[in-house]
Amino acid sequence: MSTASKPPAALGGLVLVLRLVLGGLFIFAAVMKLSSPAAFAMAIAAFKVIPAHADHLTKLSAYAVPWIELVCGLCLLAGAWTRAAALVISTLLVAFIAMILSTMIREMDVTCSCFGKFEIPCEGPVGWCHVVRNAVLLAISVFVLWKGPGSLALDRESTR
Amino acid sequence: MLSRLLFRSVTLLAIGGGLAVAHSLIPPKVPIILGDPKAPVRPANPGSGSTPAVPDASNGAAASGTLPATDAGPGLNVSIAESVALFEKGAPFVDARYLAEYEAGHVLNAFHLTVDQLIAGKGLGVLGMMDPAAPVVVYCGGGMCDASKNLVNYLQAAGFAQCHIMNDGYPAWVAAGQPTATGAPEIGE
Repeated sequence: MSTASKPPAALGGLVLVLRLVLGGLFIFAAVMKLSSPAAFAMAIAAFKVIPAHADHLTKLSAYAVPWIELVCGLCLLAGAWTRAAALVISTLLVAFIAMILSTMIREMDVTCSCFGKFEIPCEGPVGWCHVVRNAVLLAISVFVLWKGPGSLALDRESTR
Repeated sequence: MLSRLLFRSVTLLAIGGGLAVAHSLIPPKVPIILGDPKAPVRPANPGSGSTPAVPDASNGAAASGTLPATDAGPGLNVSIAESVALFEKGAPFVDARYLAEYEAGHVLNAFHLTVDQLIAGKGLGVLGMMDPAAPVVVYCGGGMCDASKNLVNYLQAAGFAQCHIMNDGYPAWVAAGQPTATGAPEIGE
């Protein structure tokens, strides 16, 4: 007789909702960034975390970040390789938070460009609002990473 | 379990990276321009410039008057004193800050133009009001502000050969007691 119990349906549903929200948000962010790589490249350059002589890295990042966001967002929506997608997105969010804190410490006046020309829900130069927003998204992502795909997922692994 | 998670994560990164490389091979509609702007390129023949198109005051533009096609004085980065001299010659000023900052206060008759507007295909009305061969002074908030430098990159790519950056920005202009104005830009997007 097995002692393993099925996860409660409510938990599976909760994880489903969270990964749909997270996936949808990252797909939206990716599409907005990909609509203008030039704008996103300049936004990255404004953070001054990549040396000025390494412009090629800035340009590569302007394409790589949104494409990775798009791929991971689609995985979260479909519930395919959910934990891996959540891990990648968690890593991205940690990097984003670090970059924002870095600009705040250096008292720089830069815009986020996280969602292209839209600022959800924070407006103006990067600040604590952006940190809190990304921290909330990070918490959701880590929760999905921990609990697994939830209901209605292509992944066969179960939510625990 | 952990190795499978890491393998899948690296695979997702590789897929995203591969798509990014493929995408980057497609020429973008708007060129990606980064780095410090180069020194303004001056016409070889000072007397051969096109007729200056200094906008008139009714359009909220710089003060009227004719400008020489070249200006042998200031370099790319200009001080407040040099900016005042250009202002008095009728050179157009361009405010590269956020619209709200412009509305709160700007150099008298300055245009409002940002890189975001240009990338979005806007701001053409402002570009049309300025002579590419004549001096243009761009400013933002001074200090660590990059908005003017980024805008100058685009203006130079668009053919504006005599762009100047008012390094100390709008706060220093105000501190120097130079003329200012408030309100929305009269030249729309």
